[in-house]
Amino acid sequence: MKCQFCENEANVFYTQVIDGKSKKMNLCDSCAEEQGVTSLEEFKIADVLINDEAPKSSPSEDPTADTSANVGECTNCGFTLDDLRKVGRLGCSHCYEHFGTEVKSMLKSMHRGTQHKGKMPVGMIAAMKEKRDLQKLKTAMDRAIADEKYEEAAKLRDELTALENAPKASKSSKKSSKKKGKTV
Amino acid sequence: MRFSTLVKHPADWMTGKGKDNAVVITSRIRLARNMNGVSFPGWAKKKERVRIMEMILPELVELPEMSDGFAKELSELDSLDKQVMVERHLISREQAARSEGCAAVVNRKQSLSVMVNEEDHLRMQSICSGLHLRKAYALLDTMDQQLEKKLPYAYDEKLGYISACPTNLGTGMRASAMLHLPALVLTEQIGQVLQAVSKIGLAVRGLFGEGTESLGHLFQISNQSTLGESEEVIIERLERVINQVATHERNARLKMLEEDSDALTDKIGRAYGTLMYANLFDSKEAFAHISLIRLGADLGYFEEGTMQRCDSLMMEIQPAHLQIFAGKELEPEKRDLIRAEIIRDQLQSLAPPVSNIVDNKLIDSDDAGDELPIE
Ligand SMILES: [Zn+2]
Ligand SMILES: [Zn+2]
Repeated sequence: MKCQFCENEANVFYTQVIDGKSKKMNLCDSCAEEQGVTSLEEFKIADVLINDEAPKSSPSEDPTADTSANVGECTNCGFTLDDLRKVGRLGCSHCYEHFGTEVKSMLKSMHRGTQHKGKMPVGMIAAMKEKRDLQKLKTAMDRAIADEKYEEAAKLRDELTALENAPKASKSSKKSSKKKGKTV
Repeated sequence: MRFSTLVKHPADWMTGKGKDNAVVITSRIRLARNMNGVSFPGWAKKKERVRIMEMILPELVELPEMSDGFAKELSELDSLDKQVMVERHLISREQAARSEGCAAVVNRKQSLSVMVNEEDHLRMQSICSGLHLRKAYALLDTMDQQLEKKLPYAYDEKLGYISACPTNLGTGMRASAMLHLPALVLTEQIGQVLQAVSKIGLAVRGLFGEGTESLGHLFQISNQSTLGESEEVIIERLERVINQVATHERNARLKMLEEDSDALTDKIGRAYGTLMYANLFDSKEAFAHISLIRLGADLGYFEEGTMQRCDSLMMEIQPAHLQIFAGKELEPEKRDLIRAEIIRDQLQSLAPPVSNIVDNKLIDSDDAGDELPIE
């Protein structure tokens, strides 16, 4: 058996077992030494196995890469689904919205759940809730206007103004973030 | 802190005290965080990557945890320096291959380290000796809470902390422990144990030679899933399972001592003799022998402090550490010579192994709440 990094005979086998299935990476003595025999997690075995034939192209060095075939680009960073299939990673945080359906279909096999249950950046959550409340009020107001319920619309507009002018939640909640989330 | 200071001083976790780390050598937590709306490091153009680093780095350096620490852009370090940091688990091999727009920050004790622009914008890590995942997590959590006030984290209510790779979504947390399991390997129970652990959704990694011979008898157990459970739940499960594996290892050690002590003493004695008198060692062979000395140290064959000596030896004989020690770059063949020299030097004062039946009881697996589905 040949080493995965060079032409030498492999006699070190890096083994990874997940869900009862083991994957092996074959190394020769000197490559094993170069890779570090004690740094087990530094092996990105999936990368080596998956990208064996198709070496990763480095998009950052090639900004003129062919974009004509890309139908669905992330509007924020220009990443495409093809890129995702090639590298197994996304381009930016916005990609998760842009390719939401594709990502969702991958999650079930990767994780124990699809809803985050861990800690949150508390200061940011308050800001997000505020944004959502604002959106809710706006939608309600638009509907009221469309239904010609002007009195109700005016009331909603006042609420909206009040919320928009309220002190930013992110500031006041920053303090509490120190206490929360420390539940371990 | 200068790089030379970093090299001269062992990391906190490398000098674990007592028998606390006889089986579980280290615990480690890693958190992945990204900035909202900007390209992940692997997709960002160089200019953008540099800009992100320049936004993140000052916030890291200002953290109280990092006072008097080490912070460098990777382009400022030569390849041997980077490799030393890899061997100390301070940066990843991938990070070592990067340069401009990527950085590493390490605290003085080398227990906390942060990689800027590795696969994610931020990869924070906490490492400590023994099985102390909660402690390692608490240290990182404090740091994370300071950073979230300053940096625009990418976070989604459903997906949690956004990561470049979907496998890290949610908590963005990878918790792991490095275990030394020589007795499970020697008694050929290791396969079953690893299978059982992997079947409850955890990942196990190890390095093997031909056949079942394991190199250095080191294994890493970590969580595979990061989304759908809280940090506490993930850590709790992992600790429970690691404790069970450690109990199996302890029992296997004691059983060998009781039922097969002649063979065990022979193995340890041979390892001692080889380490003391061999002239050339590749890392693979050296690790296999040091592992047996480490086992012997736990079972009372050697004087106190021998286990710690083994642990620092395992670090010192790795290629980059060895070359820094020699003060120059060395070809592999030359390294083998120096490696044997370092080992002889370190173990010179170590008295030969003495078989000592230590006063220990097998731990009843029922008491340990065993739930590993070992077939
Ligand atoms: Zn090779
Ligand atoms: Zn994007």
